[in-house]
Amino acid sequence: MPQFPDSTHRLGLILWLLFVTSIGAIAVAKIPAGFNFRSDLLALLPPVQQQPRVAAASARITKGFEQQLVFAAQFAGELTVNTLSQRAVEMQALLDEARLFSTETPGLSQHNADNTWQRARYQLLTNATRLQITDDADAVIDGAINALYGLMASAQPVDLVADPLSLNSRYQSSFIPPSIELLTPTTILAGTLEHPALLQLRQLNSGAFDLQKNDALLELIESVKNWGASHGAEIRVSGLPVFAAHGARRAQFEISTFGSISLIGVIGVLVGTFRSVRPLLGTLGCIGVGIGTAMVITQAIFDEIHLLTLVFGASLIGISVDYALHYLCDALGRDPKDGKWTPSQSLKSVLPGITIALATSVAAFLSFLFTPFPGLQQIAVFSASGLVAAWLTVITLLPGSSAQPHVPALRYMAMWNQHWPFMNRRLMVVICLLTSVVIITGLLKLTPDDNVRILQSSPPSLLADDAEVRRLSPYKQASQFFVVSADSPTALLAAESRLIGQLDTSAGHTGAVTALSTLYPSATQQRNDYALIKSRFYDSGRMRDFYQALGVTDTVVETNARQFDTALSILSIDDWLIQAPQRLQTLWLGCDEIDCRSIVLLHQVLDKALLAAIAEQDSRLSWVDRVGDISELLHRYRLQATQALLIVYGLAVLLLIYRFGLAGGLRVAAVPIIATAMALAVTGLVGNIFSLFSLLALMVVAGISIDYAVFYRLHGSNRPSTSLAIALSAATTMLAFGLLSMSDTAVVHTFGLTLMVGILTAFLISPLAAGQSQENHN
Amino acid sequence: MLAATCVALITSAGAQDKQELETLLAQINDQIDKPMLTVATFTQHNHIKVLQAPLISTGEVFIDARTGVAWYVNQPLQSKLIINDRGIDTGQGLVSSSRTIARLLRALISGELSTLPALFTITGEKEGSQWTLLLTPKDPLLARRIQSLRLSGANSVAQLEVMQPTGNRIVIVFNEPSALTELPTRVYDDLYATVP
Repeated sequence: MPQFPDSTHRLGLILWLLFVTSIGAIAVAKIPAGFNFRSDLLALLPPVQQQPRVAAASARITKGFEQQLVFAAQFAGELTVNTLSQRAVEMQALLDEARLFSTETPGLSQHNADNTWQRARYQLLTNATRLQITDDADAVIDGAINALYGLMASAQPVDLVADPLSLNSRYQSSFIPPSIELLTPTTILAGTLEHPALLQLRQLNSGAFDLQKNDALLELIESVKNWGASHGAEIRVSGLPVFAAHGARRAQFEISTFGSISLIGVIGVLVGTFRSVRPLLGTLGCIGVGIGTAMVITQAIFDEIHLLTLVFGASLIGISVDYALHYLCDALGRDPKDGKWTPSQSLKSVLPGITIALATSVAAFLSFLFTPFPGLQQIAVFSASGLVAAWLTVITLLPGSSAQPHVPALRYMAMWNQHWPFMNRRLMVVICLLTSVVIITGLLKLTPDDNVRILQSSPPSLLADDAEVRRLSPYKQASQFFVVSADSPTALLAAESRLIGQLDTSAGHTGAVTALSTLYPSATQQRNDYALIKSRFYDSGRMRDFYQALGVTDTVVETNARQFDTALSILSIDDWLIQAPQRLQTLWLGCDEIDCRSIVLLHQVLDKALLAAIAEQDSRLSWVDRVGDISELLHRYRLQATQALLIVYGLAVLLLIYRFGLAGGLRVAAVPIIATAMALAVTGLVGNIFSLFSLLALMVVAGISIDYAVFYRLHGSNRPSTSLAIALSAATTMLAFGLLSMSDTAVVHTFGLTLMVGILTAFLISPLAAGQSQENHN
Repeated sequence: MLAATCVALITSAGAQDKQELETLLAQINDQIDKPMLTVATFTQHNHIKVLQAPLISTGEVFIDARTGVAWYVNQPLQSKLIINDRGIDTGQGLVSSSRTIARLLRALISGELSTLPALFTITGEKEGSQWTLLLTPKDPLLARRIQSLRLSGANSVAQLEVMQPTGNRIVIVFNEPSALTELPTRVYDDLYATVP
């Protein structure tokens, strides 16, 4: 039975119950629908710091992209269109049955029902039609008559009153990409005759990161692959939802695997050390309260919990047990039979240490709050709230348990204290030299990498599939573009034209650009085209001849002539866009009281610097490169994090010198500094990426290794219970973080390895921090 | 006799109906003769709303199962249209953005029914050897061109009727279909000249 030795403890127990009840109440009030888990890796990314107008343009371009995916079936040999059609139907049926997709077909049915182009039919001409009318108007008339008697009349309806020469019909058809051939309403025939491919464009009917749909999507991909294998087709799938589903499955696997192994490891270490389950239960209680609180607080603040937060949360287990360990190990150092020991004495003994430890760890985690990364901000709140809850549980609940008898672990730690770090002075010199060589070599090999693609740890096969599908698809995604602004729509289109002129002579890109100024006919162009039709067909009498040849009544002829006479009504860009394909509508950002803005898309960028230079010369031009911008942001924050880490160390050294004197302070500070240097060196030696995320790990290393050094400095290096607590803390922390180094996600792997090396180094060298202080404490 | 008469009105809404439609299409498909080379004459009536009389044209159609269709209008004026896997060619180069239409026209004329369910909702009827299919486009883009199609025949496609959203109606009647052992030279040149 737990003992309740004094009123202080009873008060603590009440406090703890109040705390747990409050967390329960928050859970009930704020999270009635349960936890909302997310797997979106992009949630880790900061919103790029752009002007609001440029940010709006980025959002517009990427809108809908998150839910789109493309299934491609690539056939090895030539197939008839018949066979391909059958395969398309089978594939479409397979996808439809899954009920995962919306009924809309992204990018295929492009035209708006409001037929504004039809109303402006005598002033909208394609370049080819304009040329043909100018060169040989009779041939246009003959072609129109031929079409009415020919087979194409079946497939191209002619309105003899409204569009007798099908000029508007030609204009509208020109906006359907000529390369697109639909085998079914959602299947595009792509590839070559020798290696045809079927592309199914689909839009998920839920968000890309809806975890409940992930498994269904992956199962569907598997069954489509099986179908493809039975028909000699290689199935490739591309799109953010596929990456999200794979990422989520891997994260779930890592959470369950790492969490379980970490828990089993911690249980093994604790039972093996204490030879009793009571400390284990106390420790598990701390972990449970810590993680439970962390989840409730995170969900309440962010309305969601990112799976990556949970992965790091598993690591929290390693830290939160430390507080319990310090108390339990201190209790081990006492003799329960002498009748003088009470649990409060042990609590009093470790409270300053674990409170300093909590403060430094929470400070280290809360440093994440100052990064612009939403994912890391969640981790900060998750970890800090979990640690506070675990600490509170230790100081209020654990003193209810009795002291444990002496265990062999204390004897081993006593031996450790006797022999380390003073085993052999010659050996120590060798170790110091080797360590110096390793650190210097590793640091020299350290190469920073701020490319945002380090976040993309998808399997190479998935990336290859994505690249191949993009190659096959007639719809190209572009993430690099200019935002152009001007005072009026007319001025804006002129500004676009000037930019395109500059781009034509720039080596910064190759291929076409997509810009409204190249597609929307200006008012002058519309007037000219109307005048051309008037002179070549109506004034010349060709129209009347055409109608006579067909036997059309005079009434119709007159109606058409009357309609033509009153038809000219200039289409503004806004009116023209009503019927333009969706992909073009997104390019027009509209006008407000300040200015008008539009987007000019580039499809193949060769030199970003050259393009950025064009924008720098004109204040009304902005060059947007989302991938490049985020990489630049990562670079900037890595530099800032480095400065922050140096400032943290500077302050810590000053505080430690103030507390322990010059020599003592430097001794204590040397522990985190060497641990940090070693962690960085190993990162360099094994060729891992050095990025902002490495620095975040180093902040945690700093927080924890200062704890170790401070405990040794306070209690001396020959107190077995202190050494045991630090050894157990290091073991459990490494169990958790060490496992992260096995993650397939590059940034998580780097985070784990950096922490593992840092903590191991800190554990090994922290007794050095004690120096001569042990004599005082003895 | 009654038992031999199969009358089915089918919609593709339910699984049961879908099964019946597949059965009907398979029966019609088996019934249609599919020689490698076919020639037929045709008469096309283009009923345009504002015309008192339809525009009537006549000519010859050649179907090469491997390559495509050659459509020759002989009266009242002469023109040609070549349809193959590459698209539609009027003799002055490929007609752009017409590959889907090319495949559709080829399937309708040659009776390649298997490609139709992908693009149309189909209802059908078969009585003795005579069959009729009514096709409604699934794709809104195609529906802007064709409101519905009525295809009928026995051992080959005998009549194609196209209802258009404009209210116009086109009826093509095929006569005297016969198998060929080889294509006339000009037809061969037209069909194969556009094959890459």
